[in-house]
Amino acid sequence: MSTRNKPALLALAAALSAWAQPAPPSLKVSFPADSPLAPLSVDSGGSRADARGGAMVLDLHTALTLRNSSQRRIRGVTLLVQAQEFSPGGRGSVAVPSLDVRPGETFPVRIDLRLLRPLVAGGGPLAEVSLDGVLFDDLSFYGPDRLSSRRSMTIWELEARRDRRYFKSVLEARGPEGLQREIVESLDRMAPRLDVQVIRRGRSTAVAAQERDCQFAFLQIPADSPIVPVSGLAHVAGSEARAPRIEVRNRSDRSISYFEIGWIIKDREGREFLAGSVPASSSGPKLAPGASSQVWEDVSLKFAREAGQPVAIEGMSGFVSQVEFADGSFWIPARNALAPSPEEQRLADLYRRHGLPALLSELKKF
Amino acid sequence: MTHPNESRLALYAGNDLPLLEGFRVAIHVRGCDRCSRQVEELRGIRDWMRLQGSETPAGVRWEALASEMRANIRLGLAAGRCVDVPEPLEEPRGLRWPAPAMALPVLLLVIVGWMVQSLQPPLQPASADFVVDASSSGIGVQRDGRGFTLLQPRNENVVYSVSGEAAGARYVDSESGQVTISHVYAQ
Repeated sequence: MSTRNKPALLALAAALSAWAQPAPPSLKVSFPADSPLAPLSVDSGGSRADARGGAMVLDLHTALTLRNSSQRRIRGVTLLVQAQEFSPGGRGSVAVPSLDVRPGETFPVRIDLRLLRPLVAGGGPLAEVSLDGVLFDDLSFYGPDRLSSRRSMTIWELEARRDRRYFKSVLEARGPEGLQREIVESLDRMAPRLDVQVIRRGRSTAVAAQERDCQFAFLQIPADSPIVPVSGLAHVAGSEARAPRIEVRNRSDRSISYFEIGWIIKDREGREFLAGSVPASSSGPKLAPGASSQVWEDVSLKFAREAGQPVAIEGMSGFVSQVEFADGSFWIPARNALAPSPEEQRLADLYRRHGLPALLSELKKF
Repeated sequence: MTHPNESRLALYAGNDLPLLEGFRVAIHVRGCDRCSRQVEELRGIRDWMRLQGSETPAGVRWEALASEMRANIRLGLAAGRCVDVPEPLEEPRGLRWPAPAMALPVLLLVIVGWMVQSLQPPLQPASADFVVDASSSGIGVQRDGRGFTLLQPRNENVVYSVSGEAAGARYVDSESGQVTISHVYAQ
């Protein structure tokens, strides 16, 4: 090689290296000026970018430290996460319920995001984190609520209060040993888990010919439930359930603006798994007292165990998991062993990691 | 009296001096017997040399000698081509700057890449078969070479669920002890 070409080759290598080297990951955090939460620090130290073939994989590991700049206790927060170059569809949320953050206190929120994009893509920040809502201890709410986080966080908080009351009553009635047995049973119920795939307006063509209608079996309906499920079915083939459809009747004397039916699937071995919920349309008409309505979702759901092994759906059952009245108030059912709340999961995890004294101390806090 | 030196007299004898110098030497030679004799001797030697050079030596055929000399010269040139390392040819003027010629397309590529990068790509409409996966590798959507995934820590107590067109994961953060619920939306 002629030495005359060396500078050119070095320039070529430098230019190619600069072109192929991904830009450093960046996350934009934008909160409103009057937000009750102030971002104190944004640590993206663990973030990295790797080129894979013609694409770039960006892992954004960000630890936000937020401070309660309001005069009230904060019970929950929901952050909206959006990828600048993947919209619509590139939208997610990270919510932290079951908090007890006093005025002036700080707390962390972790956001671990992976973006896959072409090597040559648009400029600007890769993702943006904004505030969707904050829930206070008096159940008041702050935020744009684009993700209906007011309703979600209020339900989580009501469930948390219900479950804390339950565990406190167990402690009073049966002592620490009774509480310990209760929490161990709760831990047992939380496993195993299912992987799930949601396909919007579609289904796997391979299973279309094998589809059968599977009726929902509804669990015992609480006497105070404002809604009664009348019937329901979904098209099932193997591990896939499609287009769940449930008919309900409002038996209360108040108009209902929103409700969800919890969805449990049973496999051939008789094991039950909480699959999720079938929500009513939040923008649909209100359900008047005595009126009936049908909720359905044009989605297909595929379930698999952790190792990717399909779960053969043998049966399905449902229960009313939440109701929102037109006046903004809520109803939740009594504690359901099959659908542990986020607070029950947190308390069970606290016991698993730190033992009974930590759980007792936590229940005494509020 | 100053006499011209011998070389000047030789040039004068051959009529090789400049006009003015030749006129001066001629005046001196006419009045000086010694220099006149020297000029006559030099002219005699020159005439004899011219006479000797115009005749081929006896026994020598000039045409045959010239042919043999040309043949020897051609043979020498051919042998020289076989063993000689050729000198690098002079590069055409257009290839004299390979470095800028190679760097320029790369520079243009970088500039175009930067311009494309600074433009926001058009928004992609959601297709009918939008898929959201919730598994131990995270909750995410992937389409058209782009992907968006919310990761959760490796935790045995992650609960996945579906609500409408969103998939969610619920777990307890091991560092903070906070329960975290993340969702990705298929819309």
